[in-house]
Order: sequence, then C-alpha cells, then structure tokens
Amino acid sequence: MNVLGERTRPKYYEASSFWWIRKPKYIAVFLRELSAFFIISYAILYVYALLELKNGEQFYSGFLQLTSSTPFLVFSSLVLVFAVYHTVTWLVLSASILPPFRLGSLTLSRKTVTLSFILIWIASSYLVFILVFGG
Amino acid sequence: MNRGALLEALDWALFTGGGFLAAFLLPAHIIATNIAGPIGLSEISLSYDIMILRLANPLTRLYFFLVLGGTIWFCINRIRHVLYDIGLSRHKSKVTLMTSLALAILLMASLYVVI
Repeated sequence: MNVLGERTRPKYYEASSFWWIRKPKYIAVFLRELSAFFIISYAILYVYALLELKNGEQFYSGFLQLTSSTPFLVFSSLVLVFAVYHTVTWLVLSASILPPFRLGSLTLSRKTVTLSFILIWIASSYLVFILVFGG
Repeated sequence: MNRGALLEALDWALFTGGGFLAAFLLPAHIIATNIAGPIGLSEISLSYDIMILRLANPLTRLYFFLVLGGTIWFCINRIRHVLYDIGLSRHKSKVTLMTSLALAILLMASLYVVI
C-alpha cells in the first residue's frame, strides 16, 4: 500500500538464476545459449593460431604440437559437439522465424526451408574442405 | 530511427549474419583445423608453409576474417544475454560495457591476424 492507500506491486519480478533447470525444454534452450562460450573459445584459439603463424614457424610449430595432444583433442571434440548443436538449432529455428520464402506463386513450407538450409550446410562444409583447406 | 535503436538493429543484424556463418561454416572448420588435421585423419595439411601459402590469397584472408569476426560478434551477443538471464540484468550497463569491450578487442585481433 502507498500513502494514498493504493495497492502497489513491483514493476517486474526478477527471475531466479536457475530458471533454466525447471524443464528439459529450458535446459535445451540454455545449452544452446551456452554453446556460445565453447564456440568463442575456439574462435579465440584460432585467432591465437593465426597470430602464432604471423610470428613465425617456430611459434606456429609449438602451437601445432599442442593441438595434437589428447586433452586438446577432447576439448576440440566438445567444441565440435556444441558447434553442431548450434548449427542444427539455428537452422531449424531460422526456418520458423524468417518470413515465408516465395517462389512465384509457390510458398515454401517450413520443412522445405529447413531441408534447404541443411543442404546449404553440407555444400558449404564441402567447400570449406576443398577450397580453404584442400590441396 | 534514433541512434540507439539503429545501433541495436545493427547489432542484431550482425548477430544473425554471424549466427548463419557459424552455423554453415564452423563445424567443417573445426574438423579441418582441430580434429582431422592434427590427427592425420585426412590429407589436410596445417603445416607452416602451406598455411602461409593459403593466407597469401586475399579471399582466404577475407574468409578467415568473416568466419572469425562473424562468430565472435554472434557469440558475444549471446553471452551478453546469457549473463542477463543468469541474474546479471541488474548490472546491465556494466555487462554491456564489458562485453562490448571484449568484442572490440577480439575483432581488432581478428583483423590484425589476417592483414
């Protein structure tokens, strides 16, 4: 109650820091958000790798040696799992969020758009292997 | 549109672009650089000479910058919202400042390594 006798209530209720453990669906969403920490750690590491490359062969060789160690491979596998999780959730969600795709009078269904995104993912992955790291 | 709204729209546009770049390119990039290359699963060579040769191509440098820069922008935006979600929303301005600072440093570093 305020001085005028009116009922007052807070402007908003602050959510608990653990709101995401209430339902499995929330955990999935939180894991998706959490994937950013793993993905950025890879990005930072790769910036470091390119920096070592710039510094010279001696520095870069040391880095390459580190990447073939078992703990590093475990870390890389974990990053890969989160990166694939990001890809799948991002593409499925994008197909739902983006405005409908139209080809003339034909409107593509959500399923077709998701499938197209997955095909683009496969094609672009192939291009990364061939054009960037191939030969 | 005011300046704040314009910057927010730009932030979300780059988040979306970075999210798509990371989704389409990053898993293959991780496999090539951190898994298949180091353990010799494929013929991908990450040796110094070959990497220098690859980076001599401006298109490859542009690719590295777009993948790294886009991924970093996307991740920082997401991390900022995770921090709000786990109860740091009462320190919103500090979280925004710190994440923006991290973003600026990482983007400059990504640019530096490819030029």
